[in-house]
Amino acid sequence: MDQIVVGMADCHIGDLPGQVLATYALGSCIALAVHDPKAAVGGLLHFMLPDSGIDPARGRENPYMFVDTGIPLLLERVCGRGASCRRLIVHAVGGAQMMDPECAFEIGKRNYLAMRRILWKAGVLLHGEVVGGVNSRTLRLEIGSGKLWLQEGGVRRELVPPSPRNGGNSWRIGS
Amino acid sequence: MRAFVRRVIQISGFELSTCLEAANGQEALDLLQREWVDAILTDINVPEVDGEEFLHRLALHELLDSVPVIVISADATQNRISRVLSLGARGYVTKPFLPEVLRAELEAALGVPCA
Amino acid sequence: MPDISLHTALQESEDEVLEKMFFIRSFGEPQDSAREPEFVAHLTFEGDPPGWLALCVTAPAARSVSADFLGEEKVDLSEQQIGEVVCELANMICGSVLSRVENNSGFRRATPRLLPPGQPSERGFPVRGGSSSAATHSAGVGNGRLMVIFNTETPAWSAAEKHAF
Repeated sequence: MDQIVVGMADCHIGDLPGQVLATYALGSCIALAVHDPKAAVGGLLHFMLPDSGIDPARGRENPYMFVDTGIPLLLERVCGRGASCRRLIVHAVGGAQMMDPECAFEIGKRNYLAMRRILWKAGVLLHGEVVGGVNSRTLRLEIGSGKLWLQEGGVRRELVPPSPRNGGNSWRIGS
Repeated sequence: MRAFVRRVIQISGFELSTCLEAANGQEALDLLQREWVDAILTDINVPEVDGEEFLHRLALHELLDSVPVIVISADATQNRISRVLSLGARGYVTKPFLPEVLRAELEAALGVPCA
Repeated sequence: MPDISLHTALQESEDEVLEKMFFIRSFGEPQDSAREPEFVAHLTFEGDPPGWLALCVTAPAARSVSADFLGEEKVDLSEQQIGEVVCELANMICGSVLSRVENNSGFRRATPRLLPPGQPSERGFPVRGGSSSAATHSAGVGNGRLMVIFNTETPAWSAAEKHAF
């Protein structure tokens, strides 16, 4: 296994079966994992803030820090390696209310809504999400299989997209 | 709302050849006399022939009664949902809804995963 | 004295609609923008109780939320598209409030229609009956403001509150 660590405000694309993309310490940040099972290509983005409008220069210098600059680049890069936007399986993890128990800034929720807005504009829907709450999370994406592993509160589990019948109960806005 | 629904269908990965639209229930019934469709999405609160009457007429039709219908409505009252499902609707999506919820209902109605 | 539960239902409905289908949040008390042009959608409903809802959205906010809803660029939208989205927003907020106020009997909502430009006070929203109950909620969205007025002929209260008796 060749593990590639995706840091904060960072993004990596994988196209080799043995690669695992991993990102740690997801608090109010969100990791967006995309994978095309047919092309066996995937990408993992770890963004921190909703809008580069607060610091456009920083957005140009490090586009992966922000939702509005990071997501289009992730999609462009993963499709540049042979993935199809229509086939992408997309998961979001994070958006917790870390160090903000009074929800004064609600960065996690703002990140989440900004992400949904940019994905909707890009014509991409989610297949699963684990968002909100107060826990720190770790996410791993296996490029060969497309399997996603979530670690939260000392428990490790595989993320599986909800079955269609359960869809209505699986997509609540993260709190 | 039709633009939002059309976008959900387009980006959900279904093999969509044509998306026919009607402004009211009567227009939809006229359209269905000429065109075959795999699924129907309708609101309840529509002019001419409303959603419940539309479902009732579909149920009486020997060919159209098998076409799955998903109702999309801002009416979340339990009486309404029960009545619509008893009239033969395959699914009921309450507005507001996340796009993924409509995709899941379509997958269930058509019996195919989108991706 | 304001009807707190109806006001809460209005606020929760607005938040839910904006978050789920427009992917945005409203924020606190908006700046005063009384002189800005607005899109105003109005719809009546029959049921127990009957009444009407009006949604006033300043022009920049209407354009912004329409772009979010349709997944389009703001500059690409026509006035007609924006008007249709504002009507749909009013329709969804109304349905959501009614479902919170009463979850057993059915309501029949009329199709929302856009009211012509003018100051809200000049539009004279129709109030039917003398014992009406109204709730108003204003919030900032994008670079503008929206305001919802929900009016019923007789006082309305939430289903949860009813069942407590």
